Amino acid sequence: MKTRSLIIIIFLFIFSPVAFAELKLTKEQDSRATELFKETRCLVCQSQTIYDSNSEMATDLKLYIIEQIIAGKSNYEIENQLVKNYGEWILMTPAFSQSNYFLWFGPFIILLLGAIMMLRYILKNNE
Amino acid sequence: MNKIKIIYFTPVVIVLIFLIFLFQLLNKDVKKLSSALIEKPVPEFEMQTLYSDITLLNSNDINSSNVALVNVWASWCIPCRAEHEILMLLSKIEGLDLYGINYKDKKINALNFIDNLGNPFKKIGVDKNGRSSMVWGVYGIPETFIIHKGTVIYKHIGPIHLNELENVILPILAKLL
Repeated sequence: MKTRSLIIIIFLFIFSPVAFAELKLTKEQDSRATELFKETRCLVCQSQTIYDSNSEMATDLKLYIIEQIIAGKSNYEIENQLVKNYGEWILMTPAFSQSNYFLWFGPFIILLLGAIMMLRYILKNNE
Repeated sequence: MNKIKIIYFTPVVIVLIFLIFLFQLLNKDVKKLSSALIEKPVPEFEMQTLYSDITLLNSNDINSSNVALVNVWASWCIPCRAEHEILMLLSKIEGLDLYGINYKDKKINALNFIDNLGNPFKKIGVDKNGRSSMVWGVYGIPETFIIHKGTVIYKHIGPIHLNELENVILPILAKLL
């Protein structure tokens, strides 16, 4: 029984990369794929990227991205398609859109307010 | 003197703003993401059907129905089995067309599933490798979409329970039918 499970494990290790092996990528395409994998959220394991995840959904998305790269799509086009299908949440970096302005500018606004207050306090004390 | 007092309250205001955001997050069920397709047209897709190699299921089929319900299922998906009874009930509603997308399944198992539990669907599309369902943003089955005149109205993730049928699905359908 032990040997059997060991054989199964070895087989799994040998054959798991098969799905990717048939798709040959150039070095440049490969680095682009990795970049996109790290930018795509795995929706079934939400705090992980598909780069870090081995879930079925992540594997599907990786294959999809590789296919799109081979088909000659740009990173921007691929990301756009993913957002169209799954929503903005699929990307790790939130888009720079109107609904996200507070998210992007909020910390700077608060920092600015703090700086103004500090300045006023210092100026007053100097007087 | 008054101006200084306002300054003292700013940290409190900032903390309050953050608390509002925090409570919004806590109230949201992050497991259930809303679909990017809501209020958008039915995505372009085309797949072979379970019962015939010649006929296809595509966006035109779904757009041709006044009110359509698209359910993504598989024979290996245990919640789908539980949900099937609900789909059988829904199939009795006049004016509502049910379409199935058979997700990453073996044909023989899918056929057995329908033979045993009944066929609520007008047409069943087959998505063998899960690729065609990507345009629907499918990431965990069962998933159900309600479509009105070619526009996606609602997405339900997970099996439809009886109470969800009564309190969510039927009220939406009642408005559309």
